[in-house]
Amino acid sequence: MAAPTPVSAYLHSATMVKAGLFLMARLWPVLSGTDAWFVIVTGTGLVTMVIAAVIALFKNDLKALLAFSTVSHLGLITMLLGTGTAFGAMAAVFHILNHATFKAALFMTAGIIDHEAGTRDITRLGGLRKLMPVTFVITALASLSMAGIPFFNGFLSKEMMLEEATRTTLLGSPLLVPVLATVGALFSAAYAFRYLVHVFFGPKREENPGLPHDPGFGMWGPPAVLVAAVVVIGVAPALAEPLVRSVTAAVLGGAAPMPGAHLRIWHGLTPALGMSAIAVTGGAVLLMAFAPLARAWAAAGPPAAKTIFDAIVDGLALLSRTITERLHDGALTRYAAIFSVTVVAVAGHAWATGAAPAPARDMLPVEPLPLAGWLLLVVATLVLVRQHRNRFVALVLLGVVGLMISIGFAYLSAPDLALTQLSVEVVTVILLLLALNFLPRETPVESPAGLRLRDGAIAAVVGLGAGALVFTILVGDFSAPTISAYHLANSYKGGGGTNVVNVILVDFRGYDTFGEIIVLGIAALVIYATTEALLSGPVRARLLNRPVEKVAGDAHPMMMVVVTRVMMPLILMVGVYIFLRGHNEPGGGFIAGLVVAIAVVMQYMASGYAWASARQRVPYHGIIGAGVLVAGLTGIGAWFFGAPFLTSTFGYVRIPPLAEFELATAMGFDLGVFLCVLGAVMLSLDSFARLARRAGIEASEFDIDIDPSRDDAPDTGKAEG
Amino acid sequence: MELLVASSVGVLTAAGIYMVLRLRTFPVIVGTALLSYAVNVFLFASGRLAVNQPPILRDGVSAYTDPLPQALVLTAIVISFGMTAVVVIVALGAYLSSRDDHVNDRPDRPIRQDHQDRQDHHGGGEGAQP
Repeated sequence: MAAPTPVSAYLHSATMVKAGLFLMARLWPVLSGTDAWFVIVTGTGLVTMVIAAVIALFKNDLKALLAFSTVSHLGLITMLLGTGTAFGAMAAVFHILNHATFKAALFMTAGIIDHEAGTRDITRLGGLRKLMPVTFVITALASLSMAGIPFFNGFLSKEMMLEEATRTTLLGSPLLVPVLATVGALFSAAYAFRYLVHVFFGPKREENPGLPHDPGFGMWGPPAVLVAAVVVIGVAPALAEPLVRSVTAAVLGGAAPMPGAHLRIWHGLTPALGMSAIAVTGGAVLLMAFAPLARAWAAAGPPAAKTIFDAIVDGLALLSRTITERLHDGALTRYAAIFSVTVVAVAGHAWATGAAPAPARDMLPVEPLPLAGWLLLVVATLVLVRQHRNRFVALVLLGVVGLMISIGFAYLSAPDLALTQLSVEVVTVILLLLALNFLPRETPVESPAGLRLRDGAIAAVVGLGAGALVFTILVGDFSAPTISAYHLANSYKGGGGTNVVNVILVDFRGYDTFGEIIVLGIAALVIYATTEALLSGPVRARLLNRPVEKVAGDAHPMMMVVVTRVMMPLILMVGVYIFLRGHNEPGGGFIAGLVVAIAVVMQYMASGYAWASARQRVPYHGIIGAGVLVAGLTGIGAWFFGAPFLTSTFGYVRIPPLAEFELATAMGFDLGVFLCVLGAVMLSLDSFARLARRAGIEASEFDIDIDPSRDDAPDTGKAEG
Repeated sequence: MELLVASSVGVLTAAGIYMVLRLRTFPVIVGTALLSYAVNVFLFASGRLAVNQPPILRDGVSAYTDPLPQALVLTAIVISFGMTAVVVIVALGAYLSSRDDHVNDRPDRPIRQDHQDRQDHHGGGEGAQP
C-alpha cells in the first residue's frame, strides 16, 4: 500500500500476485481433476473471492479497496483453475488478461486522484466528475468493466466464470458454487460502483486542498491505453481469442482438449446471464444502502486478519506447549513408556488392518533338552525381574539368561553365534561387576505399586506383541526369495571358505563389518575418554577417599594366580586356532578376539591391575588402530589389482613340512577384526579398572605375592588356621 | 520349538521393557541387556529355525540353515557389548559426579535419605524441603 501507485498497478494487477496463479496454471495438467486439487483449490478460491469482495466494499482508502478487490479476483481465477475443466482454464486465462487491463487502469486513476485531490480517502472525496472529466471517463469505463457490465471485457470473463460455476458441484451441492459465485460477483459490482459513484458523483467537497483538475497526458495516457483495450476486447472479443487460446493451450499442456466455446458477448438467455443481472442489480442496491451497511459493518467490528492469525498461532503454541510439557518433562522413564505404548499402538493398528501370512511351515518338534533350557531361561528372567533390587543376583541371573541363549544358538544350527554369545557374556558380566564396584548394591523401592502395575502392564503387552510377531514370522514362509541361497552357493567358489557366516562377515558384507569394528573402536575410545575426564576432575578425589571395603581373604590368591598364568599360553593358542579355522569352521576374528581378551582379563583379575598393566607393553588404543588399519589396508590392497575395495582372493599354499593349507586375503581382514575387537574389549575393561585404582598400590616387586619357596614371604596379615 | 523361541522373545522383551522403566540406572542397563537378547534372537529367528543344519559347507549335504541373519546377529552381539559398555560408563560417570543414580531429571524430587552427603555439599538449603 505504501508503494507509488504505478508500482502498485504493476505489482497488484499484473505481475507479482499473478505468480501464484502461474504456478497453479503450470500444475494444472498434472494435478487438476483430482479430488484433493478440486476441493482445496476451488474451495479456497471461492471463499477468498467472497470474503475479499465484502471487505473491499467497506474499505475507504482507494488503494485498499482496489487491493482487496484484487484478492477477490485472484480468488475467482483460482476457483476457475480448480474446477479441472478446460473451459474453466480458458475462463481463468481470459480473466487474467481482463483483470490486468481494468485493474491496472484503476490503480493509475487512484494515483491520479491522490495526486490531484491530495487524498485517497473515499469519505473525503466526491463530485470530481465535473472537475476531472477525462479521469472520470477512464475510471467509469474501467470500473464498469470490473462490475461486469456488458460491452466491457470484465463482463465476458465474469459470464464465463458464472457459467462454469453453474456446472460445478462442490461438497455434493450443485447450488453451493453458483450461489457463492453470484454473491462474490454482487459485492464485486457493489465496490466497483462505489469506487465510481462515491468519488465522482455527489457534491463537491470544499475541504479538498487546492482545486482538483485533470492532469496532463503523461498521467492519463497510460490508463487511457489500458481502457481502450478494455473496450475493444469488450466489444470485439474475437480479437483476443487467438491470444487466449494459445495461452490456454499452454495451460492445458495437452492433458485436455481445447474447449470449442468462443469468446462472445451474447450466449442467449443462459443462467449465467441471470446471475450476472442479479449481481449487477444487487450491487446497485447494496450501494444505495451503503451508509447504514457501513455503520453496521463498523459496529460489528469484523476481526482483522492479523488478530485471527495471532490468535490461531497463540492457541497452537499453547496447545503444543501443553502437550510437550506433559510428554517431555525430563523424565526419561516416561519417554520410554510413551515410546513403548506408541510402538504397540502402531503395531496393533498394522495387525488389525493388514493381512498376516498364513502358517505355511511345519513346527519343529519340542525335545526335552531344549524344553529344559527354555524353562531355565524363562524362570531366570522372571526371577530376575522379581529380585532385581539385589543387583548381584540380577547380574548372576543375567548371566544364566545369556548362557541359555548361547546354548539355544548352538542347538539351532548357529555355532558361530553360540561362541560369540558365550564369550561376550563373560566380558559383559566382568564389565558390570566392575561397574557395581562403584554403584549402590541395592535398588531401593521408590515407585508406588500403581506405577509398577502400569509398567508391568505395558511390558506384558509389548512382550505379548513381540512374541506373537516372532511366532507369526516363524510359522510363515518368506514373502520373497532370500539372498541366502546366493551366499551358500558362492561361499566356497567365490570366497574360498566353507563357514558361510564367516565368509559373509569378512567377504560378502566386508564393508559392513569394516564399519562395525570402527564403531566398536569408537565406543571403546569414548569409554576411555570419559574415564580420563572423570579421573581428572573432582571425582578422582572422591574415588581415592572412599572407604576401603573388607576384602575376602587374599586379593590375589595363589592358586588362581598360578592357574591363570599356566592357562594363558593355552588360551592364546586356542585363540589362534579359532582364528585360523574361522574361514572354514566355526570361529573367526570376532570370537578369537573375545577369547584372547578373556585370557588377558584373567591376568588382571588374578594378579591385580598393577601387575598386569606393568607387563602390558602395547597400548590398547594402538591395537584398535592397528586393527582398523590392517582391515582397511587389506581392502585397499584390492585396488592394486584393479578390483573394488575389499575384493578378496584366495589360494592354496604348501610349505614342505606342513600339509597344504589355504591362504585368503580375507584372513588379513579378519586379522583386523580380531585386533579391533581385542583392543576395544580390553580398552573398555581397562578403563573401568582404572577407576578402581587407589593411590599407594604399586606393582609388587615379586611375580607372585605369595610364594612358599621364598623365605621372606610378605606378611599377608592373615594368620594361619 | 517355534513356540518356545517366540515365547522366549516375548518374555525377554517384557522383562527388558519393565526393567527399562525403572528409576535407577542399573536396572535400566540390565533392561537394555535383556532387550538386546530379545532383539538378537528376533533377528536370528527371521531366518527361520533349523536343527542340525549349520551353515558350514560339507560334501554331500544340501540342507543348510539361513546364514545371513547369523552373520548380522554376530556383529550385533559384539556391538551390543560396546553399547552396554558406553551406557555403563555414562551411568557411572553420572553417579560418581552427582552421587545420584536416578534416570530421570526431576529437580522437584525431594532429597532422599540415602543421599545424606549430597546435602552436605549443598549446605542446609535443601534440608528445608519436605
